[in-house]
Amino acid sequence: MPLNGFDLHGKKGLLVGANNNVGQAICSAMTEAGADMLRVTVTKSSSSFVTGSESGTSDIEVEVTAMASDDGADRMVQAALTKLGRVDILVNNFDLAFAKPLVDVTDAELDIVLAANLSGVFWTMKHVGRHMIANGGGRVVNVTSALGERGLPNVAAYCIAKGGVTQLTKAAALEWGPSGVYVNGLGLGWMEGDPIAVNNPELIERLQRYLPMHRLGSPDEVGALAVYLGSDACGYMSGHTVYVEGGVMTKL
Amino acid sequence: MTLEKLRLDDRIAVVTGGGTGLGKAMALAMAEAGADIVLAARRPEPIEDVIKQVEALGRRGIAIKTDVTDSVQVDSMVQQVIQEFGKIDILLNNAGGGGAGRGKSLFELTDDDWRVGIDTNLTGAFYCIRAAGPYMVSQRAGVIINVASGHGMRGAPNSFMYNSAKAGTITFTKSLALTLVDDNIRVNCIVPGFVSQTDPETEEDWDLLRQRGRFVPVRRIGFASELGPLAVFLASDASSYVTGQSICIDGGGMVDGLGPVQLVPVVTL
Repeated sequence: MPLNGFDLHGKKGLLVGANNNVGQAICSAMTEAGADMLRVTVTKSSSSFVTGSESGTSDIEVEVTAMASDDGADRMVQAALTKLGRVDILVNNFDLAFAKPLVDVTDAELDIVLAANLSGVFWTMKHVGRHMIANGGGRVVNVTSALGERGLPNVAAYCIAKGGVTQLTKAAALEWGPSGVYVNGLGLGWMEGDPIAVNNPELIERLQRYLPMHRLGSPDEVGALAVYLGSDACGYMSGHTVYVEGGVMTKL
Repeated sequence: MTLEKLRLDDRIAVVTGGGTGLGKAMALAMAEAGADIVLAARRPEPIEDVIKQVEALGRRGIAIKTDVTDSVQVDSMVQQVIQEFGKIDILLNNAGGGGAGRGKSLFELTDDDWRVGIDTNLTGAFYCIRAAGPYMVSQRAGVIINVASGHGMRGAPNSFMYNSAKAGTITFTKSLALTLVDDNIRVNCIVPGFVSQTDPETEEDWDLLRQRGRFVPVRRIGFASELGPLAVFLASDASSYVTGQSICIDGGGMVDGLGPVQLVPVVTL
């Protein structure tokens, strides 16, 4: 039964960024597939940091700036290991949306956008990666964005963070492949509930006209790919970012 | 002297499909940089006209009526170039086009539609490389430039042969570059985006470029002579460490494509 490879029973999964709509969908899909999921909610770290914080059911909370540091990520991962015992699957899903003309971006804004979207993934991978290498293997799924490969006006800071995740995925895949740790990206296009599009019906209408499928993606359409990338069924793929984007990157 | 490296003096450049549009512009740019030009295309009149312009620039030039989808004609064209000039330094595979059946419904495409589309846009370049390549190998020097299209990197509804062939051109470029690297032959590919076949002359022409390119990141489509400098660069010693590359000249089109223009509003932290 080739589908057995997708079965996650007996697998322990660590989901960082559990409470945005994509995180919730990934959590349900992986749980349905049999995994024990530990949810990490990433919280805001300062009063100037308004959106991007999460609320909802979680098992561990971490401040975004802590996650984006070597020590803080280490503490988060140790806490997760204490609860789970082992991590077979790491899903890095925390996302902080930000859009502003490049000429207006401040030092503090760039710092937090890079910390939340890139450094947090890096340090989390470092500490989970050590554990997975020692354990003889694992799967890392980095949720990123089509903006990691393409540009759009007003999102330069976000683009470089997401582009960094795409590159981190490739580099770590090569470094850890011999240890049985497979690292792949799950790239998202325009999704329902997208922080840039939400509450902006005019923008959503323009997108619906533009997109090949004439609709935004549903978070439920992401879960199955996360299961695949986190499972033994994904046995010869590493370093790649697979996109769930409704064909928009195919279009001229 | 960096700019000296862009000179193409005493080089013999063969340009297929060089009678009009992009091929003509790239041929004239190479002639301005010093190259002698051979134009090979199906219709003799346009290439003869361009050769007159090549000669007006003080270079030698010949027009050879050639259908690049016919390997016998391609072989004979290359023979004629060798007889005339004794060598081939640059081969610019520019011939191509929409071909029969472009835009036709998928299920109505005939075998011939498919074959003609692929032959015109991919097989013709193969014939030219097969014929000219051995001379480059024996010279231990040569430059091959293929021309693909943004259509070779993305899809477009009801455009099958053209897109498939152009995607093939991009990969063919990579394999060929690796195959010929030890023979000191470089192979690269120019990937135009939306480009006008003629250069703008009047303010109305410019308006039309802006109108047709309002969705392009630079807010206009390109025009033929904008491809010339890239062709000269890739043909010259200025690109001596560049091989296997497909270089987009598309006003930013290939990095775009995630939404309509000026989509994203400010979203603060």
